[in-house]
Amino acid sequence: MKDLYFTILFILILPLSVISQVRISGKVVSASDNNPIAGASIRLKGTNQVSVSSEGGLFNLILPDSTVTLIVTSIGFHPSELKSPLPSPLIIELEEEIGQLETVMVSTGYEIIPKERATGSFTHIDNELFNRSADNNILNRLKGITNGLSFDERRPHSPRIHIRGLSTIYADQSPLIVVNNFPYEGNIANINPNDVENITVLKDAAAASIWGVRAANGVIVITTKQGNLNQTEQISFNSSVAITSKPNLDYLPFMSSREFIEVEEFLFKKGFYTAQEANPNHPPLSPVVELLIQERDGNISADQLRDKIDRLKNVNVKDDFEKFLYQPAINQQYLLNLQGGSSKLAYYLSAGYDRGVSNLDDQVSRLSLRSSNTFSPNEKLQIHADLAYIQSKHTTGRPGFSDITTGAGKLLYPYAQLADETDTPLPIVKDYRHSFALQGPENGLLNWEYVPLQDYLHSDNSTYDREILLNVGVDLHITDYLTFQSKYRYNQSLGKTLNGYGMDSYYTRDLINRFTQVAADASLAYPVPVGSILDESSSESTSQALRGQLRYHKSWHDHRLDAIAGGELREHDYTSNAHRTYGYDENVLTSSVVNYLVEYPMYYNQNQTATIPYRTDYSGKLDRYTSLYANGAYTYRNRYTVSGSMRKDASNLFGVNTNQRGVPLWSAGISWSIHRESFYRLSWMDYLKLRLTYGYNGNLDQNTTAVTTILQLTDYQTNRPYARVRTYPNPDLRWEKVKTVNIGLDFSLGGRIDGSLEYYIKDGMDLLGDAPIDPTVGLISGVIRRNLASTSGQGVDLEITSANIDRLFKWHTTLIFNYNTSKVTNLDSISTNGSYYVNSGLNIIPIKGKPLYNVFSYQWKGLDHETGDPIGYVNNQSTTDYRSIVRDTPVSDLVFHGPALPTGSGALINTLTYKGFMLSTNLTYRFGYYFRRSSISYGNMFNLWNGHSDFTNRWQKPGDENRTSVPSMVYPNNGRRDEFYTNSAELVEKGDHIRLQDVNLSYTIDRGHQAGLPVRKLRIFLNGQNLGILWRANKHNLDPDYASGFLPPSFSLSFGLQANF
Amino acid sequence: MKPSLFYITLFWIGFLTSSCEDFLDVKSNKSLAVASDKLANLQLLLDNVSDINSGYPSIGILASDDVYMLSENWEALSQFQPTSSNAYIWNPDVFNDADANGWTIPYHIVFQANVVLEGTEKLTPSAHESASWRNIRGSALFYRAYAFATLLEQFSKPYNTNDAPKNPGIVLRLNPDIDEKSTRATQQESYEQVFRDLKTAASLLPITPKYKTRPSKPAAYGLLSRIYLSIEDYDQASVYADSCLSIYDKLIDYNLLDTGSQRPLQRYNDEVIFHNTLFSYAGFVYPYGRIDTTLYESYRDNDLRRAVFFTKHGEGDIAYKAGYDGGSSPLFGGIATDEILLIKAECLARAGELKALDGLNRLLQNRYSMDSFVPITSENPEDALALILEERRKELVFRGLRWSDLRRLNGDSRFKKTIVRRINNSLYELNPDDKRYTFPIPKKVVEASGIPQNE
Repeated sequence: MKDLYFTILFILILPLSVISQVRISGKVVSASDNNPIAGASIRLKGTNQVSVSSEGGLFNLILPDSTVTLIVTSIGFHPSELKSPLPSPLIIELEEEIGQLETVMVSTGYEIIPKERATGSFTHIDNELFNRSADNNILNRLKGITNGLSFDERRPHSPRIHIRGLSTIYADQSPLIVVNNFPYEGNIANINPNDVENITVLKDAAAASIWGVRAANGVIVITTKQGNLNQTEQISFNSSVAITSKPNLDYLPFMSSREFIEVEEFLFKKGFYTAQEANPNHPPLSPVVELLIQERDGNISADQLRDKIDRLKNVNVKDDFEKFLYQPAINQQYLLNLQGGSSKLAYYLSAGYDRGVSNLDDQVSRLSLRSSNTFSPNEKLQIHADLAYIQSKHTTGRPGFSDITTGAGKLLYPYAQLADETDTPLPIVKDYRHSFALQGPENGLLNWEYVPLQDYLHSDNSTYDREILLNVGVDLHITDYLTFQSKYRYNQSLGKTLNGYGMDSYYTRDLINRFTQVAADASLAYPVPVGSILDESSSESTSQALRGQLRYHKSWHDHRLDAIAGGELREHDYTSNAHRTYGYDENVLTSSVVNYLVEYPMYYNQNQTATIPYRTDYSGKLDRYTSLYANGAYTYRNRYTVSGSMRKDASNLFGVNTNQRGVPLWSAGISWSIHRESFYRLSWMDYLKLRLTYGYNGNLDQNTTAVTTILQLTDYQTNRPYARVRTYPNPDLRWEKVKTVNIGLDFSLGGRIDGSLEYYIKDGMDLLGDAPIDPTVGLISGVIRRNLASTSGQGVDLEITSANIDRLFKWHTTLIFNYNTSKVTNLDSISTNGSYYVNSGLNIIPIKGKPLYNVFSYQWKGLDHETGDPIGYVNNQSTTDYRSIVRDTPVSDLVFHGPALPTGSGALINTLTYKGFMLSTNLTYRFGYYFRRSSISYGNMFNLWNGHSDFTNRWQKPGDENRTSVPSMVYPNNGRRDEFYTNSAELVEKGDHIRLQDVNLSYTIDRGHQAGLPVRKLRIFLNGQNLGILWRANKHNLDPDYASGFLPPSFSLSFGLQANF
Repeated sequence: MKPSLFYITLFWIGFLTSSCEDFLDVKSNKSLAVASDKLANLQLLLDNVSDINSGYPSIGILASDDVYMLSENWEALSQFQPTSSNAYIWNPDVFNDADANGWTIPYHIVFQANVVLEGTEKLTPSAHESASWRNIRGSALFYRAYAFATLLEQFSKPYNTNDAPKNPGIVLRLNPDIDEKSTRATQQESYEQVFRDLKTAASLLPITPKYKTRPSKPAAYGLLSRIYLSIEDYDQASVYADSCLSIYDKLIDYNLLDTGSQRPLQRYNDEVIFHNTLFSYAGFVYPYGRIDTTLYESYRDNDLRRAVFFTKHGEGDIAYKAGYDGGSSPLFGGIATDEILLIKAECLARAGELKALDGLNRLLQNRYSMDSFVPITSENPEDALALILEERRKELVFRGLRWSDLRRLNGDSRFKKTIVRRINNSLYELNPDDKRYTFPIPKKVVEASGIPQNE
């Protein structure tokens, strides 16, 4: 049905007959760089007739007679007068006003407006700033240079971006990403940053409310490069190579082999392993424990034992990781583009190819092709067509330090040997006792050993992505002041993941062995067929959007009115499926049938049964939105602007009454250019503008529903379908809303210092939050999620750019300062127990009156003088009753440290320029937040082999409590003692730090300065990233921006060139 | 503006506003559905074995005289599952360390049954759907009544006819509205609801279920019989035991089982009338929970159940091995022929009929080694009753029924019992008329709902 609508509309729009009248048309460009000037006003002298140039600098005007004078004005440019006869083609060049604020055009995704006339809050990243970093991911390039934008990379594999803090608990936190006018539903890593022209970040309600319900987290508008009409042809070539050093594994708090072995010997004496030895599942025992058993059983002598153990004490698996698995990473980028335009056709064509090899030899490649064309058959009609094709591939390389484990829930022992002295790969203990694994082949099973340095060669994990992005649009200039615009976007991406476990991979051998059945006559049967295992999954994401809008631009006398109004339909369809093939033979493409229904006894323990893993899965999602919107700004005498925006969105939010599907959101704003007032006398401040906006944006969690819904599943044991209750009734479900107030001041001091200072309030309302409910109603958890929470936040964004020295030698400084605090203002506690709230700040555990990401701890007194036990408090009495601490500490008795995300952050960019040379440094800083460092948990060390270097500093004898806070080791271990210590106030550190984010060195040369240069312009650059922390508040040498267990990014150096022909 | 363009713009706006409804009516997640969309969905909800047929209340096993614990195991247990260790010494702090407990799980079943019941009221079945509609409605009533009955056994006092109209019962939630406030009905009202639902269910359910995890007529009769027995209405218990057995009375001959196997019995075996499993407390599992040695010794040498149900680790060191779910965990808690036969036998004995022993012998000849089985005889119904009760305890061990029997029999001077525990140097006693035969409602529930706590 929806396809039909799209088709009908398309057919209706395309063949529109073009209305022809007698008029002139022309283009306004900047004299300095020939770039089109949008928003210039072209007035017919002696009349009220005014036209405003479009995004491409184009305008139309009806002429009353043949002798006319045109007055062309635009902010930031000297006015120009043209008398007839007018040249043809009519190209009006405007000279830039020197010392004036540069005209920054910001894109909202619906229109492009001069920042000067905007009331809302925008951060504009121009092409030069954007290219400061050579990262191959667009979003990473924004790090450290974008006013109001902060990164939460504590989990480096799933970074989050926040614009002006956070105002939701459970709904989506990420900003809306718009690529060329429409929300982008694909993988942002697919867009080649070298195709990007500029980026606008929409921060307040007035800026973002045009995006309605998806705008609460802010909007990042990405505009790619386009060709311009009447532009000479340009070819440019970009290339860069980045080398990232091996990660520093010493950063991770590994425990030494010697200490680990000493603990194992201690535990062995206590009989800790006796039960595991007898466990019918044959759980893995470490090589040292095996040696101790052999010695106990008289199979080796005490001397032999000493010898072997001493040798193992000197082994450090970290060395093997560095030697055999990690390597420097290399990333290459190439992009060739061609752009130009005649009077009727503008084009941009680009081809980019990137490839990279990661620290662990993951291979990544990306091919991107883009063509962007504007066709203007006559002055009234413009047709745009963009087509992009992206293809990427990712292949997993070697395993890293967290990928190689012993199995059965245990990490790797620190003295594991991955290879012998001659670099021949060695097996390590995996899943079962080594002696048991060795018996396998003797009894006719497959080899049951795991050799980490070889195993990855037998499996193939690859992901392929293909994406097509199509944009077509029509601009029809109905009259001088009215334009009809229609745009359509089609975006399809196909993803495919192949995980092939070869016949020789441990995964396959282990699965086959585990399921091997021994018959009474000792013959073997293999329910999991002997052969490779292939997991395939694929996904298809298709999004379509159609927009129609009327755009009105008119100025007369002292008035100016700019407005748009329109409607939009969007849908995003996502389907995926996965399946597994057993007994796969890639040579002849055959596979085997398995019986998923039988519960087979396991080879390693006949009393355990399991069914063969069944991996077939289908899922499908379809999100639909309809929107109506209008947005306008009226300016009087270039001094006062009033703006307003309204938008009504509706979506197929499930089960919601029709009248609750939609939500109207609005914003309003005013701005006042004070410096234009006649009474303004401050000569040193030649630009001063005050802005004030107010409005609402929305957010949504598409996973919630208003009615009880069920989810149909298949019981893999009985193979029967069933359904479970997925959501509980919530008749009052509605959209989350964020109210934003923004007050801004833009200023310029003699063109040397420019800046903006903004204060904002951001209040979240109707947020989904969890509240307690009587479990008797049928909810076991006693918790229900409804629109009942609210948050309140406020902050300051300051950005100042200063030309400290502006001669042949230039020194420019940019300072960005962002301050943001927020707290939950309304939410019932779902637990009064402190243990529910102690945390590391990595997840949102909301509590009224505190920031969303917060750090709470148990009170800490110190270590006991006699025993080295950690001491806490219950009811203000110091105690070592850990069970009572964990069970009976109310929230009010916890220590609240503060937020887990920075309240103050920003950057200081200094750029020195001399002739073609440029040196720039970026210092970033983050203040006012806390993190929990990791430490030893004896239970995890004993049972999971997860040691910690703090073990060295543990309390060992009375008096040690004065030099350390690491508790003594006790046996048997008390899990609650660990829980108390690792969540105590003692382990919380201030996150404040200053970092040298990057250093950039470049040299630019062009024909203007160097005649005879084979290229028109050449820029070469050297860029160093992650240069280290210059100052930090914590004394443990930790990087607070990366959670414990993760490696901070390593130093990376890139070299590149950019040539224009 | 030319008219054509104006109309197109109008069409645009009109189109966007009018088409919204259809456009937005599609589901956002293709696997999402509303229960009352169609009858099949309701059946799917009821076929959710892990929510509907699992986790039935079983705390009584820990509190009963079938289990004993060593001090060190009890202490370890108290560190990670206080409900288990506290139930063992009848400490009232139970159900407070986990959200899933003897109160919340049955009410979760009640909610789903209510969703289904509401669905059956909304959907009018066509002629060919009528059988499945009846099955669905009957099943939902059955599950709700079953859940209510387990709640009554835990949180309402042992039943007697005089006090039932004033004793507090349970919260009777009869619709899926989660915003309705909870209040406790009286014990009498609560049981009346259970019996009413079960009798309606029995009239709607089919004679033979498609799967043993679905209820049937004999299952409803069997459950009625079990609940009437628990409130000492032996006449009714006898009537419904008959109704059940007249439809289904298959027994398994244990002589045909491989008693040495870890799983001698099959899940969904021939004796099972309705299958469900009990909540698995760590306290059941060896080495935490061991079998009471007196109980173990009461199985004679030629009693095959000794080897089928138990593993002997050493003298006085007995672990539960396997039951009607196949293995040792989870435990079977459903309705099987053996239980109904024993109810029937007990009712007959209480009515003074010596033929009660015929039923018992029919069961026992399938339990004892066939070469050495000698039928039990007795000259007086009183002795017969004692014999039947002893066999009842042995046959239904670890089925979650012993606690109910203790509550019921403690009013009878012939069978009442004081249970004693020793942990470290402390001695704990549970007297026959002890208030602790009624469990306290979880704190979290009392706080959130405001319903009165038990004494």
